[in-house]
Amino acid sequence: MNGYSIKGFIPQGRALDPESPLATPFRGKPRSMNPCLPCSHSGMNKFTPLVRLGIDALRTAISRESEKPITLMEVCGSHTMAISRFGIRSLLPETIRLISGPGCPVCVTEITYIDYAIALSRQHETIVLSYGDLVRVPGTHSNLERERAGGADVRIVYSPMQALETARENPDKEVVFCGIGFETTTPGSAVLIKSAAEQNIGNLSVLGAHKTMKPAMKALLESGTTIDGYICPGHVSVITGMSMYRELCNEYPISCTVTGFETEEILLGILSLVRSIQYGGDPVQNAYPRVVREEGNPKARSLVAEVFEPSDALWRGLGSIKGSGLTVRREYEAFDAYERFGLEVEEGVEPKGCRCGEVLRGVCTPAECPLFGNRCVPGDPVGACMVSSEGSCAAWYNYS
Amino acid sequence: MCVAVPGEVIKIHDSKAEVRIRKVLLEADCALMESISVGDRVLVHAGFIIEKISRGESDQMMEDLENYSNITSAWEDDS
Repeated sequence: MNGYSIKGFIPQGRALDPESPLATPFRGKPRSMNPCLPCSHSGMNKFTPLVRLGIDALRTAISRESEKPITLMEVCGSHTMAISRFGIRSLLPETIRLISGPGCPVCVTEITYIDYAIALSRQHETIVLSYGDLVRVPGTHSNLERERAGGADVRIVYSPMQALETARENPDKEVVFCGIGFETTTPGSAVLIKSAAEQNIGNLSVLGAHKTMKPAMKALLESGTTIDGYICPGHVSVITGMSMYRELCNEYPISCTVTGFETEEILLGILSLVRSIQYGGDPVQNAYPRVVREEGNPKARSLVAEVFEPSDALWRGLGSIKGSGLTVRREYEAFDAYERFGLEVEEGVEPKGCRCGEVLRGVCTPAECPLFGNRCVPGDPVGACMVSSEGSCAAWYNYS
Repeated sequence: MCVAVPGEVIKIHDSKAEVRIRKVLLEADCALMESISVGDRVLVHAGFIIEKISRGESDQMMEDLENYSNITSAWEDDS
Protein backbone atom coordinates (compact mmCIF):
# COMPACT_ATOMS: atom_id res chain seq x y z
CA MET A 1 0.00 0.00 0.00
CA ASN A 2 1.29 3.44 -0.86
CA GLY A 3 1.09 5.97 1.93
CA TYR A 4 -0.17 9.17 0.40
CA SER A 5 1.15 12.15 2.27
CA ILE A 6 -0.18 15.64 2.37
CA LYS A 7 3.29 17.08 2.83
CA GLY A 8 4.12 16.95 -0.88
CA PHE A 9 1.13 19.12 -1.63
CA ILE A 10 2.10 22.08 0.48
CA PRO A 11 4.72 23.55 -1.85
CA GLN A 12 5.80 26.33 0.53
CA GLY A 13 6.39 28.79 -2.26
CA ARG A 14 8.36 26.56 -4.60
CA ALA A 15 7.61 24.21 -7.45
CA LEU A 16 6.27 20.77 -6.64
CA ASP A 17 8.82 18.27 -5.50
CA PRO A 18 9.39 15.86 -8.43
CA GLU A 19 9.42 13.04 -5.89
CA SER A 20 5.97 13.90 -4.62
CA PRO A 21 3.11 11.55 -5.51
CA LEU A 22 1.68 14.38 -7.61
CA ALA A 23 4.54 14.35 -10.03
CA THR A 24 4.78 10.69 -10.95
CA PRO A 25 1.72 8.96 -12.36
CA PHE A 26 0.32 11.68 -14.64
CA ARG A 27 -0.24 10.16 -18.06
CA GLY A 28 -3.26 12.03 -19.36
CA LYS A 29 -3.51 15.08 -21.58
CA PRO A 30 -3.30 18.42 -19.82
CA ARG A 31 -6.67 20.06 -19.70
CA SER A 32 -7.83 23.47 -18.75
CA MET A 33 -8.94 23.88 -15.17
CA ASN A 34 -12.44 24.81 -14.20
CA PRO A 35 -12.77 28.33 -12.87
CA CYS A 36 -12.13 28.50 -9.15
CA LEU A 37 -15.74 29.01 -8.17
CA PRO A 38 -15.23 28.65 -4.45
CA CYS A 39 -12.81 31.57 -4.44
CA SER A 40 -15.66 33.80 -5.38
CA HIS A 41 -18.54 32.30 -3.49
CA SER A 42 -17.88 29.86 -0.72
CA GLY A 43 -15.10 31.26 1.36
CA MET A 44 -12.01 29.46 0.07
CA ASN A 45 -10.29 32.83 0.22
CA LYS A 46 -10.39 32.41 4.00
CA PHE A 47 -7.65 29.78 3.81
CA THR A 48 -4.07 30.80 4.52
CA PRO A 49 -1.90 31.32 1.41
CA LEU A 50 0.10 28.18 2.24
CA VAL A 51 -2.97 25.97 2.42
CA ARG A 52 -4.31 27.57 -0.76
CA LEU A 53 -1.10 26.60 -2.56
CA GLY A 54 -1.59 22.98 -1.56
CA ILE A 55 -5.24 23.02 -2.56
CA ASP A 56 -4.50 24.63 -5.92
CA ALA A 57 -1.78 22.06 -6.65
CA LEU A 58 -4.20 19.23 -5.89
CA ARG A 59 -6.99 20.77 -7.97
CA THR A 60 -4.62 21.12 -10.89
CA ALA A 61 -3.48 17.53 -10.61
CA ILE A 62 -7.03 16.19 -10.38
CA SER A 63 -8.22 18.27 -13.33
CA ARG A 64 -5.25 17.24 -15.48
CA GLU A 65 -5.47 13.57 -14.68
CA SER A 66 -9.19 12.89 -14.57
CA GLU A 67 -10.27 11.62 -17.98
CA LYS A 68 -13.11 9.15 -17.68
CA PRO A 69 -16.32 9.94 -15.81
CA ILE A 70 -16.28 8.36 -12.36
CA THR A 71 -18.57 8.33 -9.34
CA LEU A 72 -17.10 8.46 -5.86
CA MET A 73 -19.11 7.94 -2.71
CA GLU A 74 -18.19 9.14 0.77
CA VAL A 75 -19.48 7.00 3.61
CA CYS A 76 -18.74 9.25 6.56
CA GLY A 77 -20.99 12.01 7.85
CA SER A 78 -18.04 14.23 8.68
CA HIS A 79 -16.83 13.91 5.09
CA THR A 80 -20.33 14.75 3.86
CA MET A 81 -20.29 17.92 5.89
CA ALA A 82 -16.71 18.86 4.96
CA ILE A 83 -17.33 18.29 1.23
CA SER A 84 -20.33 20.61 1.31
CA ARG A 85 -18.86 23.14 3.69
CA PHE A 86 -15.63 23.59 1.76
CA GLY A 87 -17.27 23.52 -1.67
CA ILE A 88 -15.23 20.50 -2.77
CA ARG A 89 -17.64 19.64 -5.61
CA SER A 90 -17.00 22.96 -7.27
CA LEU A 91 -13.25 22.33 -7.16
CA LEU A 92 -13.56 19.18 -9.27
CA PRO A 93 -13.81 18.67 -13.02
CA GLU A 94 -17.13 17.53 -14.48
CA THR A 95 -15.77 14.01 -14.86
CA ILE A 96 -15.92 13.44 -11.12
CA ARG A 97 -19.29 12.97 -9.47
CA LEU A 98 -19.40 12.90 -5.69
CA ILE A 99 -22.33 11.23 -3.98
CA SER A 100 -23.08 10.74 -0.31
CA GLY A 101 -23.71 7.33 1.18
CA PRO A 102 -24.96 6.01 4.51
CA GLY A 103 -22.18 7.52 6.61
CA CYS A 104 -24.13 9.50 9.16
CA PRO A 105 -24.95 7.14 12.05
CA VAL A 106 -27.97 9.16 13.14
CA CYS A 107 -29.38 9.19 9.60
CA VAL A 108 -29.21 5.43 9.12
CA THR A 109 -30.82 4.66 12.48
CA GLU A 110 -34.10 2.97 11.72
CA ILE A 111 -37.37 4.65 12.68
CA THR A 112 -38.60 1.69 14.77
CA TYR A 113 -35.48 2.06 16.94
CA ILE A 114 -36.49 5.66 17.67
CA ASP A 115 -40.01 4.50 18.49
CA TYR A 116 -38.52 1.92 20.87
CA ALA A 117 -36.39 4.59 22.60
CA ILE A 118 -39.49 6.78 22.91
CA ALA A 119 -41.47 3.89 24.39
CA LEU A 120 -38.69 3.37 26.95
CA SER A 121 -38.63 7.07 27.83
CA ARG A 122 -42.35 6.76 28.67
CA GLN A 123 -41.66 3.94 31.14
CA HIS A 124 -42.00 4.81 34.80
CA GLU A 125 -38.73 5.69 36.58
CA THR A 126 -36.58 5.40 33.47
CA ILE A 127 -33.78 7.69 32.35
CA VAL A 128 -32.86 7.60 28.66
CA LEU A 129 -29.39 8.82 27.70
CA SER A 130 -28.57 9.73 24.13
CA TYR A 131 -25.97 11.43 21.95
CA GLY A 132 -27.14 14.93 21.02
CA ASP A 133 -28.32 14.54 17.44
CA LEU A 134 -30.39 11.44 18.10
CA VAL A 135 -32.94 13.23 20.27
CA ARG A 136 -34.21 15.20 17.27
CA VAL A 137 -34.59 12.26 14.89
CA PRO A 138 -38.28 11.82 14.13
CA GLY A 139 -39.94 8.60 15.14
CA THR A 140 -43.34 7.66 13.75
CA HIS A 141 -45.27 10.12 15.94
CA SER A 142 -42.73 11.92 18.15
CA ASN A 143 -39.04 12.25 18.96
CA LEU A 144 -37.02 12.09 22.17
CA GLU A 145 -36.75 15.87 22.38
CA ARG A 146 -40.54 16.23 22.39
CA GLU A 147 -40.81 13.45 24.96
CA ARG A 148 -38.39 15.34 27.17
CA ALA A 149 -40.46 18.51 26.79
CA GLY A 150 -43.45 16.43 27.82
CA GLY A 151 -41.75 15.34 31.04
CA ALA A 152 -39.73 12.26 30.11
CA ASP A 153 -36.25 12.04 31.64
CA VAL A 154 -34.15 12.16 28.47
CA ARG A 155 -30.57 13.38 28.89
CA ILE A 156 -27.87 14.14 26.36
CA VAL A 157 -24.44 12.68 27.02
CA TYR A 158 -21.03 13.16 25.48
CA SER A 159 -19.61 9.80 26.51
CA PRO A 160 -21.22 6.40 27.15
CA MET A 161 -19.40 6.29 30.50
CA GLN A 162 -21.71 9.04 31.78
CA ALA A 163 -24.36 6.33 31.80
CA LEU A 164 -22.38 4.50 34.48
CA GLU A 165 -22.32 7.59 36.70
CA THR A 166 -26.02 8.23 36.09
CA ALA A 167 -26.86 4.65 37.03
CA ARG A 168 -24.84 4.88 40.24
CA GLU A 169 -26.46 8.18 41.18
CA ASN A 170 -29.98 6.86 40.49
CA PRO A 171 -30.09 3.33 41.93
CA ASP A 172 -33.89 3.35 42.06
CA LYS A 173 -34.25 4.11 38.33
CA GLU A 174 -33.60 2.21 35.13
CA VAL A 175 -30.91 3.91 33.04
CA VAL A 176 -30.89 3.19 29.30
CA PHE A 177 -28.10 4.35 27.01
CA CYS A 178 -28.96 4.65 23.31
CA GLY A 179 -25.89 3.11 21.69
CA ILE A 180 -25.71 4.02 18.03
CA GLY A 181 -22.85 4.57 15.63
CA PHE A 182 -20.20 2.79 13.63
CA GLU A 183 -16.83 1.29 14.50
CA THR A 184 -15.50 4.50 16.10
CA THR A 185 -18.32 4.68 18.62
CA THR A 186 -19.08 1.01 19.32
CA PRO A 187 -15.98 0.36 21.50
CA GLY A 188 -17.30 2.92 23.99
CA SER A 189 -20.56 1.00 24.35
CA ALA A 190 -18.57 -2.22 24.79
CA VAL A 191 -16.52 -0.69 27.61
CA LEU A 192 -19.70 0.63 29.22
CA ILE A 193 -21.33 -2.82 29.25
CA LYS A 194 -18.17 -4.55 30.46
CA SER A 195 -17.68 -1.97 33.24
CA ALA A 196 -21.32 -2.28 34.32
CA ALA A 197 -20.90 -6.06 34.54
CA GLU A 198 -17.63 -5.82 36.49
CA GLN A 199 -19.08 -3.27 38.90
CA ASN A 200 -22.41 -5.10 39.30
CA ILE A 201 -24.44 -2.13 38.18
CA GLY A 202 -27.90 -3.64 37.99
CA ASN A 203 -29.96 -0.75 36.68
CA LEU A 204 -28.12 -0.01 33.43
CA SER A 205 -28.73 -1.28 29.92
CA VAL A 206 -27.85 -0.35 26.35
CA LEU A 207 -30.41 0.02 23.58
CA GLY A 208 -28.06 -0.92 20.80
CA ALA A 209 -28.16 -0.04 17.13
CA HIS A 210 -24.46 -0.19 16.37
CA LYS A 211 -23.55 -0.95 12.79
CA THR A 212 -20.50 -1.94 10.80
CA MET A 213 -19.49 -0.21 7.63
CA LYS A 214 -18.17 -2.97 5.39
CA PRO A 215 -21.45 -4.91 4.92
CA ALA A 216 -23.20 -1.64 3.99
CA MET A 217 -20.48 -0.79 1.47
CA LYS A 218 -20.92 -4.28 -0.01
CA ALA A 219 -24.71 -3.97 -0.07
CA LEU A 220 -24.50 -0.71 -1.98
CA LEU A 221 -22.24 -2.28 -4.59
CA GLU A 222 -24.67 -5.19 -4.95
CA SER A 223 -27.72 -2.91 -5.11
CA GLY A 224 -26.72 -1.55 -8.49
CA THR A 225 -25.68 1.95 -7.34
CA THR A 226 -22.85 3.00 -9.64
CA ILE A 227 -19.76 3.55 -7.53
CA ASP A 228 -16.21 3.49 -8.84
CA GLY A 229 -14.50 4.39 -5.60
CA TYR A 230 -15.19 4.91 -1.93
CA ILE A 231 -13.85 7.88 0.00
CA CYS A 232 -13.41 5.90 3.20
CA PRO A 233 -14.01 7.24 6.70
CA GLY A 234 -10.96 8.54 8.55
CA HIS A 235 -11.85 7.85 12.14
CA VAL A 236 -13.73 4.59 11.56
CA SER A 237 -10.47 3.43 9.97
CA VAL A 238 -8.52 4.38 13.11
CA ILE A 239 -10.32 1.43 14.70
CA THR A 240 -10.72 -0.96 11.74
CA GLY A 241 -7.36 -0.43 10.09
CA MET A 242 -7.02 -1.00 6.35
CA SER A 243 -7.73 -4.72 6.05
CA MET A 244 -11.50 -4.37 5.60
CA TYR A 245 -10.92 -2.28 2.48
CA ARG A 246 -8.55 -4.91 1.10
CA GLU A 247 -11.22 -7.56 1.59
CA LEU A 248 -13.78 -5.36 -0.17
CA CYS A 249 -11.45 -4.62 -3.10
CA ASN A 250 -10.64 -8.32 -3.45
CA GLU A 251 -14.34 -9.08 -3.89
CA TYR A 252 -15.47 -6.13 -6.02
CA PRO A 253 -13.97 -3.97 -8.77
CA ILE A 254 -13.76 -0.91 -6.55
CA SER A 255 -11.08 1.42 -5.21
CA CYS A 256 -10.95 2.60 -1.61
CA THR A 257 -8.99 5.51 -0.17
CA VAL A 258 -9.06 6.57 3.46
CA THR A 259 -8.87 10.34 3.87
CA GLY A 260 -8.86 12.99 6.56
CA PHE A 261 -11.26 15.88 6.89
CA GLU A 262 -9.37 18.91 5.68
CA THR A 263 -9.92 20.23 2.15
CA GLU A 264 -6.46 19.23 1.00
CA GLU A 265 -6.79 15.79 2.58
CA ILE A 266 -10.09 15.13 0.82
CA LEU A 267 -8.65 16.33 -2.49
CA LEU A 268 -5.62 14.11 -1.98
CA GLY A 269 -7.94 11.16 -1.42
CA ILE A 270 -9.86 11.99 -4.59
CA LEU A 271 -6.61 12.24 -6.57
CA SER A 272 -5.55 8.86 -5.27
CA LEU A 273 -8.90 7.37 -6.33
CA VAL A 274 -8.70 8.95 -9.79
CA ARG A 275 -5.29 7.38 -10.28
CA SER A 276 -6.26 4.02 -8.92
CA ILE A 277 -9.44 3.81 -11.03
CA GLN A 278 -7.85 5.05 -14.24
CA TYR A 279 -4.43 3.46 -14.10
CA GLY A 280 -4.94 0.42 -11.87
CA GLY A 281 -2.39 -0.54 -9.23
CA ASP A 282 -3.18 -0.99 -5.56
CA PRO A 283 -6.89 -0.16 -5.15
CA VAL A 284 -6.46 0.49 -1.41
CA GLN A 285 -4.77 3.71 -0.37
CA ASN A 286 -4.31 5.49 2.91
CA ALA A 287 -4.32 9.26 2.40
CA TYR A 288 -4.61 9.84 6.16
CA PRO A 289 -1.48 8.03 7.35
CA ARG A 290 -0.76 10.54 10.09
CA VAL A 291 -3.68 9.06 12.03
CA VAL A 292 -4.77 5.75 10.46
CA ARG A 293 -2.50 2.73 10.97
CA GLU A 294 -2.54 -0.39 8.84
CA GLU A 295 -3.56 -2.50 11.83
CA GLY A 296 -6.08 -0.03 13.31
CA ASN A 297 -6.80 -0.36 17.02
CA PRO A 298 -6.79 -4.11 17.84
CA LYS A 299 -7.64 -3.57 21.52
CA ALA A 300 -10.81 -1.66 20.66
CA ARG A 301 -11.85 -4.35 18.18
CA SER A 302 -11.18 -7.08 20.70
CA LEU A 303 -13.37 -5.37 23.33
CA VAL A 304 -16.18 -5.03 20.79
CA ALA A 305 -15.87 -8.71 19.85
CA GLU A 306 -16.01 -9.70 23.52
CA VAL A 307 -19.28 -7.86 24.17
CA PHE A 308 -21.07 -7.90 20.81
CA GLU A 309 -21.64 -10.44 18.07
CA PRO A 310 -22.51 -9.77 14.42
CA SER A 311 -26.18 -9.81 13.48
CA ASP A 312 -28.39 -8.60 10.67
CA ALA A 313 -29.44 -4.98 11.03
CA LEU A 314 -32.01 -2.61 9.61
CA TRP A 315 -30.66 0.54 8.02
CA ARG A 316 -32.86 3.48 7.18
CA GLY A 317 -33.00 3.58 3.40
CA LEU A 318 -31.11 0.35 2.86
CA GLY A 319 -33.34 -2.15 4.62
CA SER A 320 -31.91 -5.22 6.31
CA ILE A 321 -28.23 -5.89 5.66
CA LYS A 322 -26.82 -9.25 6.59
CA GLY A 323 -24.15 -9.17 9.28
CA SER A 324 -24.10 -5.37 9.47
CA GLY A 325 -25.29 -5.02 13.04
CA LEU A 326 -23.96 -5.85 16.48
CA THR A 327 -26.02 -7.57 19.14
CA VAL A 328 -25.05 -7.86 22.80
CA ARG A 329 -23.70 -11.36 23.49
CA ARG A 330 -25.63 -13.72 25.73
CA GLU A 331 -23.06 -13.36 28.55
CA TYR A 332 -23.97 -9.69 28.79
CA GLU A 333 -27.70 -9.91 28.00
CA ALA A 334 -28.60 -8.44 31.41
CA PHE A 335 -27.34 -5.16 29.96
CA ASP A 336 -29.25 -5.46 26.70
CA ALA A 337 -32.29 -3.13 26.85
CA TYR A 338 -34.21 -5.28 24.35
CA GLU A 339 -33.83 -8.32 26.62
CA ARG A 340 -34.39 -6.37 29.78
CA PHE A 341 -37.60 -4.60 28.80
CA GLY A 342 -38.96 -6.79 26.01
CA LEU A 343 -41.27 -4.05 24.78
CA GLU A 344 -43.51 -4.65 21.79
CA VAL A 345 -43.25 -1.73 19.39
CA GLU A 346 -45.07 -1.57 16.07
CA GLU A 347 -43.02 -1.22 12.93
CA GLY A 348 -42.30 2.46 12.35
CA VAL A 349 -43.72 4.38 9.42
CA GLU A 350 -41.46 6.68 7.41
CA PRO A 351 -42.80 10.19 6.76
CA LYS A 352 -44.79 10.44 3.54
CA GLY A 353 -42.83 11.93 0.66
CA CYS A 354 -39.46 11.73 2.47
CA ARG A 355 -36.68 10.45 0.19
CA CYS A 356 -33.99 10.01 2.87
CA GLY A 357 -33.68 6.37 1.89
CA GLU A 358 -32.77 7.22 -1.68
CA VAL A 359 -30.45 10.01 -0.53
CA LEU A 360 -28.62 7.52 1.70
CA ARG A 361 -28.14 5.16 -1.24
CA GLY A 362 -26.81 7.94 -3.45
CA VAL A 363 -29.77 7.46 -5.80
CA CYS A 364 -30.95 11.07 -5.57
CA THR A 365 -29.60 14.33 -4.23
CA PRO A 366 -31.30 16.02 -1.29
CA ALA A 367 -32.57 18.77 -3.59
CA GLU A 368 -34.55 16.17 -5.55
CA CYS A 369 -36.72 15.39 -2.51
CA PRO A 370 -40.06 17.23 -2.68
CA LEU A 371 -39.90 18.06 1.04
CA PHE A 372 -36.36 19.48 0.96
CA GLY A 373 -36.14 23.13 1.93
CA ASN A 374 -39.87 23.63 2.41
CA ARG A 375 -41.49 21.13 4.75
CA CYS A 376 -38.11 19.72 5.79
CA VAL A 377 -35.53 22.20 7.11
CA PRO A 378 -32.86 21.90 9.84
CA GLY A 379 -35.04 23.75 12.35
CA ASP A 380 -37.97 21.42 11.73
CA PRO A 381 -36.68 18.26 10.08
CA VAL A 382 -38.98 15.63 8.60
CA GLY A 383 -36.30 13.14 7.62
CA ALA A 384 -33.28 11.95 9.58
CA CYS A 385 -30.82 13.29 7.00
CA MET A 386 -31.90 16.83 7.86
CA VAL A 387 -31.45 16.35 11.61
CA SER A 388 -27.76 15.83 12.08
CA SER A 389 -25.30 18.45 10.88
CA GLU A 390 -23.54 15.47 9.28
CA GLY A 391 -26.63 14.43 7.35
CA SER A 392 -26.59 14.86 3.57
CA CYS A 393 -29.71 17.01 3.52
CA ALA A 394 -28.53 19.33 6.31
CA ALA A 395 -25.12 19.72 4.65
CA TRP A 396 -26.78 20.38 1.29
CA TYR A 397 -29.21 22.86 2.85
CA ASN A 398 -26.55 24.77 4.77
CA TYR A 399 -23.80 24.96 2.18
CA SER A 400 -25.08 24.38 -1.34
CA MET B 1 -20.46 11.95 15.22
CA CYS B 2 -17.40 10.09 13.99
CA VAL B 3 -15.05 13.00 14.43
CA ALA B 4 -12.16 12.58 16.83
CA VAL B 5 -10.21 15.52 18.14
CA PRO B 6 -6.51 15.74 19.05
CA GLY B 7 -5.31 16.64 22.52
CA GLU B 8 -2.52 16.24 25.06
CA VAL B 9 -2.70 14.06 28.15
CA ILE B 10 -2.17 16.28 31.18
CA LYS B 11 -2.96 13.93 34.05
CA ILE B 12 -3.88 10.27 34.54
CA HIS B 13 -5.89 8.86 37.42
CA ASP B 14 -7.00 5.21 37.40
CA SER B 15 -8.19 4.52 33.86
CA LYS B 16 -9.10 8.15 33.15
CA ALA B 17 -6.96 10.81 31.55
CA GLU B 18 -7.33 14.53 31.66
CA VAL B 19 -6.82 15.72 28.10
CA ARG B 20 -6.28 19.29 27.00
CA ILE B 21 -8.02 19.98 23.70
CA ARG B 22 -7.15 23.50 22.65
CA LYS B 23 -8.16 25.49 25.75
CA VAL B 24 -10.58 22.94 27.13
CA LEU B 25 -9.84 20.16 29.62
CA LEU B 26 -11.79 16.97 29.09
CA GLU B 27 -11.85 13.64 30.88
CA ALA B 28 -11.25 10.71 28.55
CA ASP B 29 -11.28 6.99 29.22
CA CYS B 30 -8.07 5.05 28.46
CA ALA B 31 -9.71 1.60 28.19
CA LEU B 32 -9.21 1.32 24.43
CA MET B 33 -5.45 1.84 24.59
CA GLU B 34 -2.67 -0.49 25.73
CA SER B 35 -0.77 2.30 27.49
CA ILE B 36 -1.11 6.03 27.93
CA SER B 37 1.33 8.40 29.63
CA VAL B 38 1.26 12.04 30.63
CA GLY B 39 2.41 14.14 27.67
CA ASP B 40 1.07 11.71 25.04
CA ARG B 41 -0.73 13.29 22.12
CA VAL B 42 -3.97 11.43 21.53
CA LEU B 43 -7.20 11.37 19.53
CA VAL B 44 -10.38 11.55 21.60
CA HIS B 45 -13.78 10.38 20.42
CA ALA B 46 -16.96 10.31 22.53
CA GLY B 47 -15.04 10.33 25.79
CA PHE B 48 -12.48 7.68 24.82
CA ILE B 49 -8.89 7.90 23.67
CA ILE B 50 -8.92 5.91 20.43
CA GLU B 51 -5.34 6.43 19.19
CA LYS B 52 -1.97 7.86 20.10
CA ILE B 53 -0.45 10.20 17.55
CA SER B 54 2.93 11.87 17.23
CA ARG B 55 3.54 15.39 18.49
CA GLY B 56 3.98 16.59 14.89
CA GLU B 57 0.69 15.02 13.79
CA SER B 58 -1.05 16.45 16.81
CA ASP B 59 0.32 19.95 16.19
CA GLN B 60 -0.79 19.74 12.57
CA MET B 61 -4.28 18.62 13.59
CA MET B 62 -4.48 21.37 16.22
CA GLU B 63 -3.55 23.86 13.52
CA ASP B 64 -6.19 22.36 11.22
CA LEU B 65 -8.73 22.65 13.99
CA GLU B 66 -7.73 26.27 14.55
CA ASN B 67 -7.97 27.00 10.80
CA TYR B 68 -11.32 25.27 10.63
CA SER B 69 -12.58 27.30 13.53
CA ASN B 70 -11.25 30.55 12.03
CA ILE B 71 -12.80 29.79 8.66
CA THR B 72 -16.13 28.96 10.26
CA SER B 73 -16.03 32.16 12.32
CA ALA B 74 -15.17 34.19 9.22
CA TRP B 75 -18.09 32.65 7.37
CA GLU B 76 -20.39 33.36 10.27
CA ASP B 77 -19.15 36.97 10.41
CA ASP B 78 -19.83 37.33 6.68
CA SER B 79 -23.33 35.93 6.85
